[in-house]
Amino acid sequence: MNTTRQGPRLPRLLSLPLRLAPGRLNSALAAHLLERVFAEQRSDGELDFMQGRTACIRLLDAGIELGLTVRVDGFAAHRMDRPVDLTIEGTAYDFLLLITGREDPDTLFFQRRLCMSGDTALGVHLKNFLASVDLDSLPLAGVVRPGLERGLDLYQRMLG
Amino acid sequence: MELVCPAGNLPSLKAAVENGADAVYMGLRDDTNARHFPGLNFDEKRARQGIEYARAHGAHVFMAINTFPQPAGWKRWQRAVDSAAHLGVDALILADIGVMDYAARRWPELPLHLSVQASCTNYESLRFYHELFGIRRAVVPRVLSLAQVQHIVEHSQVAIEVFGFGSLCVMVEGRCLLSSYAAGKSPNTYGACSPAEAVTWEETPAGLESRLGGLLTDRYGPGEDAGYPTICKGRYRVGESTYYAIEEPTSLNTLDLLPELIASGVAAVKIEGRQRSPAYVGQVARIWRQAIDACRARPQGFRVREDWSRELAKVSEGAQTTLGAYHRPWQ
Ligand code: SF4
Repeated sequence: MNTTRQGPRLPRLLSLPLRLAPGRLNSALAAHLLERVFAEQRSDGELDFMQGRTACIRLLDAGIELGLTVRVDGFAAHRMDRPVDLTIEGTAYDFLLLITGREDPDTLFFQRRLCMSGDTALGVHLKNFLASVDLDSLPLAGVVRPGLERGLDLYQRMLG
Repeated sequence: MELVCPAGNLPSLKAAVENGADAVYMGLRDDTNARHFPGLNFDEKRARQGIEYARAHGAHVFMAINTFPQPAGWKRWQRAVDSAAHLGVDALILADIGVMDYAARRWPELPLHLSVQASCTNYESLRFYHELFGIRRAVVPRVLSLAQVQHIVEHSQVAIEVFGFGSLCVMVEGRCLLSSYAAGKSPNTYGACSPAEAVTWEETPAGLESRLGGLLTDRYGPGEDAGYPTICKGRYRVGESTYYAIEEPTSLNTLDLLPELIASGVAAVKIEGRQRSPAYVGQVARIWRQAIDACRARPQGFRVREDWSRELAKVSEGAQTTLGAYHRPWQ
């Protein structure tokens, strides 16, 4: 299996169902989920920096591209045929390491496993926002955290 | 010897405390502290939660208000001192004498520490800060050798804190015209030497390029590890060759000197890195806790464990560490 320093990549077969879901739908689903998970942070104004700004998240191995933005009424999908302020690319595995806090985002970036382009200040703000979120205090923590951890374990077992 | 760890956010604070920090230091969300990055640091709500958590676990909390105010911003620095006092932190870490004077008069009970940003390198000047503002502890700059640190500890009535691990600054703690020139902002007044809005990363046919204020600081080939876009740690062409002409990207690591530091009566050791993630803070705090405990139990037989060094190197700048100025025999 391909486990270079780039970290394991999702095998084609596994990524197939994700790949088939149309991009707009993925983004809308992601926006919906983020809206529920980050409700408190949004009402505290911690996501104001994303108001009207657009980000593209690419899970390279899964072939998923999410376009996201924050509007006055919450997270929303952003159409990817329009320009974005910030793009972050990486494998699904490295994104999982990042959000579960198992790996330092700077380390992932410096090892070239995560690539960022566009507005650096927006990227740094987003990184710091994600790092400041206490995963265990989130709504759906009981679902999200174990789900993420399971995903990560699955990866490590299959691809170790 | 107290272990003082960085907290740029609540999860980092918790990671520090969980992994054995005796104290954590934090900053507010503006230019009143020397890690001024978007989205980093604490608003009042999170600060309150952090202080509560630290207290419940027996750890102290220090508030860094360690940049130098310009006349137009003076109110913001006053406000920072007042809100830290209201929050009930255990000490303020200050650099500017105006801010120190304000804090000492307005909140005479609140302990003051002298920030490394004040760049105080001898016991006479420490005595001055002590007599005038009653400072109880001073963080000494990373340009001193071990012998110089020992000399200060011996002669000073103020407790001494030293840096144990983390990124280095070669320009005497932020007095840096080089980055002011590139970024258009002074590190000591703005609170960062590579402000995020002055940094760009770009994939080009020649490689990944990092720029500060439009000036090329480095270019990384495919697969080559990148580093912080700090101007002093960039690669430049000098004559025929391109290399780290000013400073190599590397992190200070003084684990080797732990027995000497403890024996000389250093009061606290500080870990750099409020801008780093909770994962970094947790790892570094855990290793330093184990090392300090091992050294206290058996100072003579103290050996730096191989796995400690490996782990610390992994989270270091440029994946390498140095003893920095501590081991300069000529100093
Ligand atoms: S650019 Fe380098 S020398 Fe200048 S303030 Fe930053 S770390 Fe220090």
